[in-house]
Amino acid sequence: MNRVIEIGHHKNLTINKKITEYIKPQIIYIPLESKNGVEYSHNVKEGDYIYKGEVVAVNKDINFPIHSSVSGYVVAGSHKIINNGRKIRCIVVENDFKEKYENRAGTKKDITKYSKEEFINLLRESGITGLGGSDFPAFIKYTSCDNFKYFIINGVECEPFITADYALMREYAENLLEGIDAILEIMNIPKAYIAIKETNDVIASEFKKYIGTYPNISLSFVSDGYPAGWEKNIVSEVLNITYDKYPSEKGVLVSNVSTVYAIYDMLKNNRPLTERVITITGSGIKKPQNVRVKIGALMSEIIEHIDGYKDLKNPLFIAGGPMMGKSLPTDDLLVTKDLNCVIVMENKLSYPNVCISCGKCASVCPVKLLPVLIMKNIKDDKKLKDLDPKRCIECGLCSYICPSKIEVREFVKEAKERV
Amino acid sequence: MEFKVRHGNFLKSSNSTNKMMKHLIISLIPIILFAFYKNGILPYIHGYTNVYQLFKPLIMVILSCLTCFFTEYCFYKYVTKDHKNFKDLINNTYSIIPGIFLSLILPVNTSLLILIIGSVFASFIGKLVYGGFGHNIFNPALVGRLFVIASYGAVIMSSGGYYNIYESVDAVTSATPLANLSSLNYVGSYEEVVYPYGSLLDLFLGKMPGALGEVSKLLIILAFIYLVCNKVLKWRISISYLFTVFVMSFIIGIINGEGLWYPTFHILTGGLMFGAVFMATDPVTSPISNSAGVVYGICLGILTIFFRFLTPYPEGVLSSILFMNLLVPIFNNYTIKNHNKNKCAPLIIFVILAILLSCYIGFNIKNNDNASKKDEYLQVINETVMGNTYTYDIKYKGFTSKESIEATVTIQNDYIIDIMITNTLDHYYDSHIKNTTYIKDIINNQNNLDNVDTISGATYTSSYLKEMTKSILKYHGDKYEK
Repeated sequence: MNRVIEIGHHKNLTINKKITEYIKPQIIYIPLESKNGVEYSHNVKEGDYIYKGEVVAVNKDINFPIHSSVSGYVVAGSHKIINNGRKIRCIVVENDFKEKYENRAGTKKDITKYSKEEFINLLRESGITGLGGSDFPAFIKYTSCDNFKYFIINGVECEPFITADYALMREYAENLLEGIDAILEIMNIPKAYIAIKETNDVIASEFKKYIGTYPNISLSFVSDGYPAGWEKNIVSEVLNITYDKYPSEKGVLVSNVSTVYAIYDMLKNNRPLTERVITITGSGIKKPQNVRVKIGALMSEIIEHIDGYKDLKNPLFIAGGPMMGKSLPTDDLLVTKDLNCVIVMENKLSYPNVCISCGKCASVCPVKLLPVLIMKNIKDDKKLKDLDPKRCIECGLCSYICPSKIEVREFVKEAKERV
Repeated sequence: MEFKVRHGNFLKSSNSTNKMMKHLIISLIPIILFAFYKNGILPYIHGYTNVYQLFKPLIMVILSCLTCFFTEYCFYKYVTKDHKNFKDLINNTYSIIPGIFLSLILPVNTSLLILIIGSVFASFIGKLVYGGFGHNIFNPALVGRLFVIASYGAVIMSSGGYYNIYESVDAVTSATPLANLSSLNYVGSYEEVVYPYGSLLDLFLGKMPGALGEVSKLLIILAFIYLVCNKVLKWRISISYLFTVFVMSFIIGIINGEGLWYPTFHILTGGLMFGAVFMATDPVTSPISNSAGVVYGICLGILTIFFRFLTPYPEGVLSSILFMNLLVPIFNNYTIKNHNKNKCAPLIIFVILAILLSCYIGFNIKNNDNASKKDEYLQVINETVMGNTYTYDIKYKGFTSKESIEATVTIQNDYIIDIMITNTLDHYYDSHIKNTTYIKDIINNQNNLDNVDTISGATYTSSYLKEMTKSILKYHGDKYEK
């Protein structure tokens, strides 16, 4: 079993908050590059009228679309920041607040009535990606193995502060179960496990209300800690299975709760993915909460709508969680499919001291790297090769645990690039 | 709106180097207080010392901290001239830590001047020349102590060595338990090895001669537990170090028919416990990975046993740790090469090495152990014969050294008529024996010496005098009796 580390939850600000909505942004921006560097080519031009859910740009290699989440006119393009901190050229759509779809597709009563091919195709057409943060197109994952044996729904959300999945599970447990059941049926997978933290009693009881009618779905508890929600950890804790690179090697399909909800929504309404729930929290936010927002909306507008910032001396604006997120110089951040959290907090973190070689980073590393030695040999390519920094999952535990407050992970990341 | 940008992650553990150092100091406070009690208060309330000596243990600790601090302060202020963030720099080099440690591994009889020189040396040569905190190769405190012992060891020994004044009054020997063991050729009965110092419990509680902070094993163990609970220590090193020493001395003991007390004695004596807990685990100068730490501890144990048994210098902890400090890069490089393979080859190699070495030592000291040891203490310098009166000028083992008793013995008709102590280094002779009838008692009971009671307070000297009488009678008998 992998080791997880107790790092505290820090979720109190938003854990009991209902999901609120802000789905009326003035303008939405559609970035033409994803955070992983995948480029999209646009097929609309300035002045076009586009409907909600219309394809705006497409990744031609795999024919994977991005949709507009509002209806309105395309105006001149501009550059905005996405969650990897880079400024990306965007298609800009001015919202006319009509929420007009090109063609009406009614809701389906029985969402299991899809063939596997239809389902996969729908996943692609609806632009479903891993909403947990991978931004990996779901249809590729769902075809990566011919006969999956297990389906694990990742509801662990181990990163502190974030409660988007938690809120989703609490409010939509029944729908999630329905969605999981449909996926099992369509994909012909015999067994599903919903993985949640062993301390999440609220969620457990929420699922237990409905789970009786789904004999193929069971709850599975994983240890409370970080990075408990890491795919490898979940698969090993739930099924006691280890794998090399992807769980599909062993016939295991793992999806995030919000991805499953998006799939449920897709099956039910036959609509592309245009909204998601994000957590906006931190000591710098007046009213921290979980908000359902339009993909492509501007963060500054959303935060303004939920009453804005508190006055902080040195505020940090973090896209993502506190462990793996990125600090940005501005709040002109776009909501992308893989953005699950925004934290605004005071920069009161102390600055690094000298490394005392205590080895704590090595003892917490979930992939058993030796971060301290990677750091000390950052110039020595031969040693770096032996240290194998490529296995780093960038969880940030080494930087978290370091008593000298050294940003150890940044060194490992650098080493990753050098090797 | 504009925001600050920061690279790295945004959630930090509450643990910090600062906190670790605070825990370290907290864990040392009881040890310092005990040193104060044992070397300051006890002699004082028994009226052996003045007020200065009452506070000497505390003065030593504080003085050596201050010296280390000022050494670093001056170095950064006037030598490197690194004025950027000068305050941070001083706050973050933890300059007093080597100071505390150095004062705790020196005996109370160290003069303050020597201590100051040692502290400067520890800070400067042990730490600053390598680039300061976090970059040193050797444990600074040990470097300081090595320097002090090498340069001024004789001075310290002549001013009382490891005994404080109160202890030396009551003591039956001037040697530390390890030096005593070494003079016994490493094996001996419980009475010979432990009894001169009380009992194993006394050794455990710290009622024994030794450096300021090294004596109370109980407090060191408590400090160890405290530090492990607060995740400050690389505890694997301590445990494997102590365990190795225990097992090796156990093997050596078994071969020579010693009981379980023998390895326990080895664990409880010298600077071993203090070194294993505080010195060997210094994060900067020990290997990084946990498994390397275990092997490191085993190597330390092997070296310590090696120094204790095979060199004339029984206090091997200091040398073992300094030597192993030098090898830390090798450990780390080995870790780099093999960190994702589950290799236990080094572990097995060193465990076998430990067992072999202890067997070698065990059988070797057994061969050395001969029964006629006591007779070897007798040295006849000169003998004169006048008729049937024989006069022998002899030297015999005493309390301080192998020939610390010099005497002239007159034998008439195979009967001792006079024993005259001509010279002795054993000051207990002067204070406890000279003005008593002890010598007369020995002469009167020379054929039945077991009837003579030794003098309490000078047990060893008086029993050596008895042995001396036996030996010279035997010597005379072998030579002249038909």
